[in-house]
Amino acid sequence: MTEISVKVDVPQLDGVAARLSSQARQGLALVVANEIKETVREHLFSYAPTHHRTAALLGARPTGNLEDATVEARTDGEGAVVEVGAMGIRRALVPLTIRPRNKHWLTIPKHPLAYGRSVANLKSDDGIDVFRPRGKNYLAFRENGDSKFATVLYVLAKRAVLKHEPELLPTAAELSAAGAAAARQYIFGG
Amino acid sequence: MTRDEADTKLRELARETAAAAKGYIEKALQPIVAGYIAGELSLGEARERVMDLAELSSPRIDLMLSTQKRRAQSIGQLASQDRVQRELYPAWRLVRNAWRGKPRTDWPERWAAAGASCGFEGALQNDFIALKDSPIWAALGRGEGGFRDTLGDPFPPFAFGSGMGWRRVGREECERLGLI
Repeated sequence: MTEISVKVDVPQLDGVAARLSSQARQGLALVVANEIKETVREHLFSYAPTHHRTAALLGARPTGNLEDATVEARTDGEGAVVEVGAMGIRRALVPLTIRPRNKHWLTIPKHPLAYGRSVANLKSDDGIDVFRPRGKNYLAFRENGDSKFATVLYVLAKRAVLKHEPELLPTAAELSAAGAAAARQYIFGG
Repeated sequence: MTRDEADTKLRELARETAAAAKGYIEKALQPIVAGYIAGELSLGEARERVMDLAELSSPRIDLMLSTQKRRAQSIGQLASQDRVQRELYPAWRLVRNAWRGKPRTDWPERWAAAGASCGFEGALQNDFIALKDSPIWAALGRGEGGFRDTLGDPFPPFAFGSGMGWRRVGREECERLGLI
């Protein structure tokens, strides 16, 4: 899981928070962490349905990685720590270089059939015979039994860089503001 | 929903999923095994069919798992509803938060029927917004109006394979809309 640490700084609450009992301070930290978690969750869910660029480009079914994200929160001595579990979510923080694990190549989908599916899936679900033409860095299949031409399914790569996408998560300022609102509500009520 | 209740609900969900998957696989396996025992299928044919079954059932199992995951996400959302959340965001808005190839288009009818069943208590008629404790959520989950694909839960996704979910609605907006 990718961790996002947020320090909520509300100078006008510092004096009040310092006078809270340790139990109440703990409650305050939990409430803030909870609010930040919910803010991250909402952001992901509102972003997810619009974030299907590659799938749309290929005319394929989206993988739903963001829609299936899990968001957890906890507190540490400094503030709230939100954990986001979604494939590739680290690109929200930095450009992400991915490399093959337990295999020689990454398979980058270039065909709607390939998007979000492994070579094994194509074989087992659709009976597609995937092959690598001699000397080429791609995997292909013969469409409609065409024996002359091969259609590219995946490009093979040793690594790929996913660009930095900070918009996948709320900004630090948004998170801080959300946490501060929750803190104010917790201390002063409504 | 307290955290303990949420934990219990999640355990029930896991048991229910396992039972459904087991039931589905057993039901599909039965005629193959029967055919093999009766000598209507050779061992090779039976093996082929079992392998086909695993392949054919994968989209259905995916859908089942995805629905259960979305239910679990909602349970997590409900467990996060502390006093502060209820004060800052008194209502939910029903929105599409997951892509679907063929999305249901009957949510306005579902909302109208669910609302009519509870007199739109704490709910808007012209928008999918209702207070968190409005009975409309339970009515949606029960499939008021004769919708038979619902899951019986007072929380999203409400219906099997649905991509609908909740977004929070802030107090100011609730006041502006006349909900509180």
